[in-house]
Amino acid sequence: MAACVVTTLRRFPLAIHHHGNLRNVQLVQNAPHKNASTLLLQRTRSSVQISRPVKTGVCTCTCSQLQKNHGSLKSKEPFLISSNLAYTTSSIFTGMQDQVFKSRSDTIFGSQSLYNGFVVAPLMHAPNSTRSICSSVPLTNIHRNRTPGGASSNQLTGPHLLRGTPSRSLFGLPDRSAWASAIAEAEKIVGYPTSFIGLRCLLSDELSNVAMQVRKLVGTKHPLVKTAKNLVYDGKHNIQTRGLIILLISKAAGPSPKGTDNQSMVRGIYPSQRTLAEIAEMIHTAFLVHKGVVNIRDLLPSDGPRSVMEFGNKISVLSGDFLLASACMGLAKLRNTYVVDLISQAISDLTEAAFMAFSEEGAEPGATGRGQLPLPNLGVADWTRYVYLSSGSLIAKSCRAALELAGHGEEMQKCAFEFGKNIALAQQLHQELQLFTAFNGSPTSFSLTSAPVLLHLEGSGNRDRVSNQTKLDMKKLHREIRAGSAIAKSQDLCRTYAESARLAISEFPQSEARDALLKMVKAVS
Amino acid sequence: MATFMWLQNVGLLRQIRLSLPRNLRLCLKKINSTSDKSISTTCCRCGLSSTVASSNCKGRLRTNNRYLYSRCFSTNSNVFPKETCSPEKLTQDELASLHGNICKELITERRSLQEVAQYYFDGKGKAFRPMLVLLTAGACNSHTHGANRQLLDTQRQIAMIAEMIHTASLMHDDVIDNADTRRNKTAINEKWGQKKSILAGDFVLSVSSKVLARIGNEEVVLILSQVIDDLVRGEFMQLGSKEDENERFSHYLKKTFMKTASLMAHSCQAVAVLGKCSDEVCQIAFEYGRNVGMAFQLIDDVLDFVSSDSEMGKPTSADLKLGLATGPVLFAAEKFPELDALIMRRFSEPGDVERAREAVAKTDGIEQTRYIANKYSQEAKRQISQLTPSPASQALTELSQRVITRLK
Repeated sequence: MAACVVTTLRRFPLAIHHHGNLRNVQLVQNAPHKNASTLLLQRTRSSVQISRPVKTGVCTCTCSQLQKNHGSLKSKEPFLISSNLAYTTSSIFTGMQDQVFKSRSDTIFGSQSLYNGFVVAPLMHAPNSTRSICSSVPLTNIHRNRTPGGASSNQLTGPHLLRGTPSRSLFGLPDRSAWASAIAEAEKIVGYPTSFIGLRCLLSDELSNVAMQVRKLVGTKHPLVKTAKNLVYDGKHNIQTRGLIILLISKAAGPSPKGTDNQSMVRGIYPSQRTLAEIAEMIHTAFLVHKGVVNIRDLLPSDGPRSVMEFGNKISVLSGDFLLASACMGLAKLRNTYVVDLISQAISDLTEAAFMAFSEEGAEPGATGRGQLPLPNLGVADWTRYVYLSSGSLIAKSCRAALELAGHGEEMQKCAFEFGKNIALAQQLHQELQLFTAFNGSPTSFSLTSAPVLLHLEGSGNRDRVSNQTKLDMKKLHREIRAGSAIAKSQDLCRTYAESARLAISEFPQSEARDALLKMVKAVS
Repeated sequence: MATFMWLQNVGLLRQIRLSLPRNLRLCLKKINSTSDKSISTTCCRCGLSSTVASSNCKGRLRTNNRYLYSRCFSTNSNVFPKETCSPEKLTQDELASLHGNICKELITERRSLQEVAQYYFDGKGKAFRPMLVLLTAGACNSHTHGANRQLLDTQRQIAMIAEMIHTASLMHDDVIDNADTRRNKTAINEKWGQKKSILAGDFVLSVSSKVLARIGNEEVVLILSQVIDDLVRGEFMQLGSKEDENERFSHYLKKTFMKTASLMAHSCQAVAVLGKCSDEVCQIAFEYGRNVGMAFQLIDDVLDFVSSDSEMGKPTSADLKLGLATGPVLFAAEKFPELDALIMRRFSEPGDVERAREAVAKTDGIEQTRYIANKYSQEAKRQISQLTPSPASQALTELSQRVITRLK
């Protein structure tokens, strides 16, 4: 089934560069309205330029619609377009082996992957841009190909994604949840979407080199391919929000109380704070990449040839190291050793989390269970510790560091830390709860180490009863948890975290940045 | 030859000359006549321009002896008795506690992480970098603040950090290169699996940057971040090879700087900065570290060809097997252009490694690489001779010599 969903990213122009041997199409979107977007189709082939608006409905249109309106898009193939800043575009299209895709995009890492037949390749065009950052994680679409094992389900959230039809390709609609709209508004406040990796970094020779190498991995089972795909679209809206929260709290805290030193604020945020947000994103990404390193010895024959996996490891290690090294350089240039200390601690915490029982194969929150109960003594306290180490610490310490960079006092810094920590916990718990409370949540896609499960097991006698089963019945467990008190307990816990986060910034002066943060808190409570 | 001048000035030279054995006295006479001809290297960050390195190296080999004389001269000309100034003697107390201190820093709640992270810090490594850093710190301190100046705690920490950064990079390298053994024990990736090795490497790195941050000197943080950046870039440079011959050699030297010399150069510079030395002295420390580092790695590349597995504690011909063309092969390729194809395909076809080894054996690639290493070592000595003589600076001179004469 051919389908195309064009989602537009709010205020940002969308550019689709489609270099084909049959046509050369450029879609340029200008000034989208809040709901409906207009696409302009420019045919640049043989120097004819036609600019016609395309009615797109609510931020989406299908390939057939495009075709109806414009005979020029002859492709029956589905293609998916995501957007970014004017100079960054991701496009996914499939099945066009003969397409000549000549652009700088070939050389961008993290963005080139072939996932179930889809090439993901953002174009980087920043010839005269002075902006030092770019975003390449737009909100667009997710492609999900149902494999017999259902292995990809862990990347999907939101009920609409679980309603998938078993067609070859399925694009979900953009997440219009409270969380998504909270983010959308928050992004406006900080000026432009949070960076994810510095443009300078993306355009460097080193990463171009990696991108060339990543191509060889396309179509293999190495986790790097999946990570790269998730960088382009992260199902949880998780990747970007890290930086966003840091920027918002920087803005909410306001200017330096000691008077500005040599920095001047841009839209209420110091350049050093923006760099810090960028660094936090880089560190997070580096860890995603490094966690994707596979143990060669544990490979099954079905995972593909050993040499490919070794090669994938090599590229994962190098690209993760590159991101970490760039982050280190960026940190050092902030010229604040306390900030370096904080962020180094956050990196240590991330590695510690990776060594916890939660990170064992298949036990990561969000991963599908393997029919085995987690370690018998794992409780909610461990869950809290794990979530803190694996995501809370980086956000919390970056928030603290952001305020340190502006010269705010210890009190404010502590509040920022508490806020970051609690919103991370609330967000994770909220996400895990979705799988149980959503109208038609899949009864088997939850993780056995998610908080609702652990709370359920802590209930009287539940653990014994469940662990006595020879084969774990996921569906039954799901039913039990829904019927029991664990859900209510989880919701209480989630509200407690959200409340702590709210309280932490209640002393901050009233501002739209603070309101945006509060809205985000509300969305996850 | 600053030391030389200094010795002449204080009238010690006569004494020394008399105390020397006859053959060395001869050397000294010879050095007197040739000392001002000593070749100073030109260059960017890696010190040697490729044209200097690759052109007519063979012709220069004949003049090589000169450096051997100068070595006799410089190791014996100092006022400090040799036995108390050996690098080991001067640093043994510090080094004895080094690995214990590192392991202390690596203590964490997660036992499994701690175990992997501490695996390579068993005190059995050469600890070459910490030694270099500690001695440089000693030499810079006595130069700037007089002979009685003790090492600063922060300088000791730099020695620790240097070893940690080095080890973290080894942990990652072993995964990238699929190593089996390291320092005569099972390589980390074999023992714990790739994923844990990488994450533990990240952990060691983060702990080292924590220690670094707590020193509280922004400049030093910047200096050592540069090392991490260089290490990664060096690793990337290893991925590609250059077709053009001249470019290939400078690519090789640049890579050598980034992967090995950068850490030594910058950590030497860092201790000088912490010792509140003048910019000039910091620059000397940097240059010394850089030159020693370059010589160290070039000899490492030579040893990869000439020594056996058991001596090195890691497999030899490893570079070729990984597809890396190091100095000896690059020189051999000048004589046997057919090696170019092998270099470009990274010795990937069966028999390539053997063919390359044979070609190297037929040419003087090994000697030429040694020659360049020798030059770097000379430059390192020249740099250190600019500092006030002290036991530490004497040990540094010895260290720069030992780098090129070592067998493992």
